[in-house]
Order: sequence, then C-alpha cells, then structure tokens
Amino acid sequence: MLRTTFVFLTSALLAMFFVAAQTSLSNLWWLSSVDMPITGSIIISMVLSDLIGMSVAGAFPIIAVVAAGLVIAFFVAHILSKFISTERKILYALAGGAALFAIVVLMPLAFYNLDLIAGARTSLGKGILIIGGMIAGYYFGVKSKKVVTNEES
Amino acid sequence: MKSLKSGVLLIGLFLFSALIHSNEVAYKTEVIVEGLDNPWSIAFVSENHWLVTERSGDLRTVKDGILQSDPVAGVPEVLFAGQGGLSEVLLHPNFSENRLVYLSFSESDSVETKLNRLTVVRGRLEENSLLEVKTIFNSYPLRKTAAHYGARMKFMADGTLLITSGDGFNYREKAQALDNHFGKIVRVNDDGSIPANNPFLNTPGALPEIWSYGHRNLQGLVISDDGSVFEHEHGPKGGDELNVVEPGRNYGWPAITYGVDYSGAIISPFTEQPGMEQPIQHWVPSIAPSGMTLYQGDMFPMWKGDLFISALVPGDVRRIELDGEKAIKETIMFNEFGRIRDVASALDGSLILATDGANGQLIRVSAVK
Repeated sequence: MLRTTFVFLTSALLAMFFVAAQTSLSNLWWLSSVDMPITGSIIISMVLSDLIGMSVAGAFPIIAVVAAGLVIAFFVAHILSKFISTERKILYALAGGAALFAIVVLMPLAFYNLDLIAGARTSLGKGILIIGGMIAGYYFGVKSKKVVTNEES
Repeated sequence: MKSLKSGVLLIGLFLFSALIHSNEVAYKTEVIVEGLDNPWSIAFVSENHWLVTERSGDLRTVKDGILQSDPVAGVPEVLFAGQGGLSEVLLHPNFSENRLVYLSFSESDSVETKLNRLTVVRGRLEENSLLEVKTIFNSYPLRKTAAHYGARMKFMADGTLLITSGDGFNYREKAQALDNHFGKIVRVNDDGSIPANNPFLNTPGALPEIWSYGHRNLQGLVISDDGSVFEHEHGPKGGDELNVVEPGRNYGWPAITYGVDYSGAIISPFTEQPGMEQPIQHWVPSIAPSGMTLYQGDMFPMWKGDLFISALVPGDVRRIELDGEKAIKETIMFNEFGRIRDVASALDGSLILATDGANGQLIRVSAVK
C-alpha cells in the first residue's frame, strides 16, 4: 500500500511536470517569437519556477487537480480491469490520458471556456498534456503491477 | 428598557459610522438605490435623472433617487455569461441636443452562436425608449470565452470615442498583434467611422481602429481636461496597472507584466522592455480595479483632480492623487461596502458608488454641511 501510494504520487508528479513544462515552454516560445531576450538560464529557472509555482502558489493548486483526476481515472481503470482483459499498462495509460483530457478539455467548459492552464490553450498544447497523462498512467500501470506481483509471490 | 438602550446605541453607532472624516474631508454615505442586478455603469442625464446598466441586460432609470420599475426599452439582447453582459452606458457630448446614448455589451454571433464579441451601439433616448439603435463597433475576431471584454468608453475632446477591448483571457498573446481587437484601445468617430488620424491607419495588416495595444482587461478609462488619457486594467494574479495612454504605444501585456498566472505559472519573466510602456502605478497583490472617475466637482475641493478607482478585491475605492501624469499618493476609502463595481462623479459633485453583485446598490458619498 505504501509503495502503491509512492508510485501514485510519482505518477502525479510526472503528469504535473508535463503540465508545468508545457506551460513554461509554450510561454517561452511565444516570448521568443516577439523578440524578448530568452536565455538558457531563463528557460531552466522558468520551468523550475512553474513546477513549484503551479503546485503551491496558484489561486488553485493544479497538482491537487491533477492528482484528483488521476485518482478517479485509476479507480475506474481498476474496476474495468476486472472485466476487460486489456494489458494493465495500456488500461492505466488510457486512464491517465482520460484524466488529463477531463482537466484540459472538459473542465474549461464549466468556466466559460477559460483555459486556466496556459499550456493547454492550443489544440497542440492540449494534445501534449493528454499524452503526458498517458505516460503518467503507463508508469503507474507498470510500477503498481510490479508491487502486486511482488506481494503475491 | 435594555433593548431600548441597545437600540439607541445601535443608532448612535450607525450615525457615527455614516459620518466619516477622511483627510479632513467630512462626508456621509447613504444608500440611494438597492436591488440592482449586477450594476456596471452609471450615466447622469441630469442631477435627478440617472441611467444605470445591469449586466444582466437592462438599462435602468433612477429619477429623484427612485429606481423606476420599467427598464429602458429598445436595448439589444446581450450575452449575460461569465464576465459578459450589458456594460458601459455613456452619453454623447452633445446629448442635450441629439439625445444619443452609447452602450457596450457582449453578444453572441448570429451565425456562430457559440462564439461572441464585444459590441458598441448608439441610440436616441426618447422618454423611456432607445430608438434608431445602430451598431458602431464590433470587436474582431469572435471569441469563445465570456471574459475580459474591457468595454469602457469615453469621448475625447475632439468628439472621437475611445473604447477599451479586453484580451478575451485565452487570447492574451494577440494583444501584441495589430490584426485584431484583443487587448486594445480603439478609437472611432461618434458614428463608428474611422478617424483620419488614427496611429495605425497606414500600417499594413493593422486594424485601423486601433489606438493603443498591449493591454489586458481594461476596466477604467478617464480623460483629463488637458487631454491625458488614464486607463487601468486588471492584471493576472498581481500586476493590476494604472497607465497614461498615448496613441500608437505598446503597453506590454503579456510580454511584460508584474503579475503571474492564476495557476501560479510565470507569464513572462520580464517587467520592462524597450518600446513598451510602464504603468504609473501597479498593484501586487491585485485589487481588481473595476471603474474609475476623475473628480472635478465642487462638493469636495480637496479631491479635485484626483482619480477614484473602484476595486473588487477586497472591495474599496482607491483615491489617487496626481501630479500631472504621475501618481503621488494612494488612499484607501469606502472599504465598508464590499466589492465595488463602479465609481462615478455625479453632476452635483457627490460621488456615486455601485456595489457588485445580484443585489447591487448605488451609494451616494456627499459632503457633511
């Protein structure tokens, strides 16, 4: 259980990293396009600042939203795994993608179409974050499976 | 007996709280009108005849301090959603002769019904009806969001009309491009035609209405007697700005800002850049500036020439003393009424505050004689 929790938190952090990095890089890309003086140190510091800032310093903690989305999606995947013979890692990857889809596509519909995550304002950005969710889910599917296998053996 | 004493004490406290001395200026506050549905803007036809917009779509009339039951007829249908709805009401400089009233509002597109825009119309006010309503400005392009419309208006001394057009929230980068109306102040003639001396008239690809750019959500606009244009705008999380606006200038959003995103993400690591203007004042954390008036009345001589900025967070009015185009002192006032949506100078020299929300009030601030 402790290890599953650790794997889940790592998975949530992985998804959060994609959210923060995509937001930072899309902002930096645009700033560079209007000739703002972007340097390597600015890129590194902005990605790190966003990872921390979006986790704890926002008007709402995005990491909590991401974690809540993944908890729900993984729970549904866990139920489905009892009835579907799909590979576990694929099922959780789809669940992770669905969680991020809900956050970046469905959630704005409740807020007058406002994309509160800047990195998700374009279709490309939304796609990247959904793929990020799939990677986080895949990681959870692989690592949590190992835990179960070890406990059972 | 005990309840009588308590009652007397409460009345005493009420009177004490209603008569307040601020910077040696004695004033009293009184609620004039209650029950307004999200009041947004006030225009004074005469001392006893006011027009008030309700964001839900009605233009209401207050006569002799009494809210009239019937709204003004003929106001176009608005999109009342998010931050959108019926916004500014403004009288033409020659209103006494032509009876022209200008309204800004958000509206859904008739074809692409899921998209919307900022629209400005003008109409002739006769009795309690708006007649001959004509659209004089439509923001371009359409947006899917119901936020950041700007929607403030003011006439310049030459009779042209300035209109603030917000960045639409999702479209902030477009504030730096001249091919759209997001994050702009636009300038049109009183019939919506383009003035011949607009700054980007001869710039390839630029929309000819644009007067200044690089703004976010502009909610306050005043013009002083000497022609200085003061504008304030909501920042993101922090970074609200008070600017002096010049034609053709770039005010930087979102390439430079003193705020961060609501998500906590950095929007830009830069606060200044050559070719981009600096605010004369900025606020971190945000005060959510919502309206503004330049006090020119005689009721409060000490306030003459000062800006009064209404604020939604935490809910007060900021009195900004000016030295020319510089802000030299800020005083927090009227912080007992909650979120304040607008502040206006009435013709008798009193200040009128409009509180925000579904049970909005108009509160008069007048001198104690």
